[in-house]
Amino acid sequence: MMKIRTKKFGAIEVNHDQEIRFVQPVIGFPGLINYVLVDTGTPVKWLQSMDDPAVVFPVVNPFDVKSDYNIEIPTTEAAALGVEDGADVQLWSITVLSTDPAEIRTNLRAPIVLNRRNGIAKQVVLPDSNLAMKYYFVPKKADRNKEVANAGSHA
Amino acid sequence: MLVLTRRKGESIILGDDVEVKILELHGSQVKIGVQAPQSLSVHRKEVYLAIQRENRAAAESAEGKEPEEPEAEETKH
Repeated sequence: MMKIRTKKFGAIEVNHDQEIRFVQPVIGFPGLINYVLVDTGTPVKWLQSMDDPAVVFPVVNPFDVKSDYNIEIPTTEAAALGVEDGADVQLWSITVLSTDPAEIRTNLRAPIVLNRRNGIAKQVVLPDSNLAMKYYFVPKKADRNKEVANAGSHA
Repeated sequence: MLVLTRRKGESIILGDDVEVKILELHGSQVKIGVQAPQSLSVHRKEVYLAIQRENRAAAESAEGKEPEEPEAEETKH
């Protein structure tokens, strides 16, 4: 056990096996590579930076949000994480919370891919441009998520 | 910014181990091949920026700040 300082949770004790080391920083958060996954017993977990107490990302299991979520992790990415067995891979998608349920969304295009065996992770940008970067939990219209999936994929 | 003219099939080298090659030209579209070490991530800029925005919005939302997202951004083509 070790004690870390966080802005959201105050001082917390974490097990070494909760520690996550990023091979590359989360996009937009340079220099921060050491994180810990904090489970407060809710479906939303918290990816807390150990390098900056103020940085924490809400994350969800993408399969809980979209049951037919189906992705292929490029072999080069899996290799960079030292993945030998697919069963070791855990996915966490970064989620935007809001008091307005219609604004709650998660990024299915760039999940955090974690190799549980060694605690090494990376935010992987998946090649499939049909995956939504803003997947809304509560679609406003039947096709809202589809529209969002297509935005930004015009390459 | 360095500006270079290249023809189809020609390349530029960045540093010692990154090669950017012009593969095909179709009107206003250019197909580019990038050969780079695994440790270097290569992204389409609009995708990279969109992910960066979502990551920041997520981190801010964890502090209880409401996401502010210009609606025009998502529907832009």
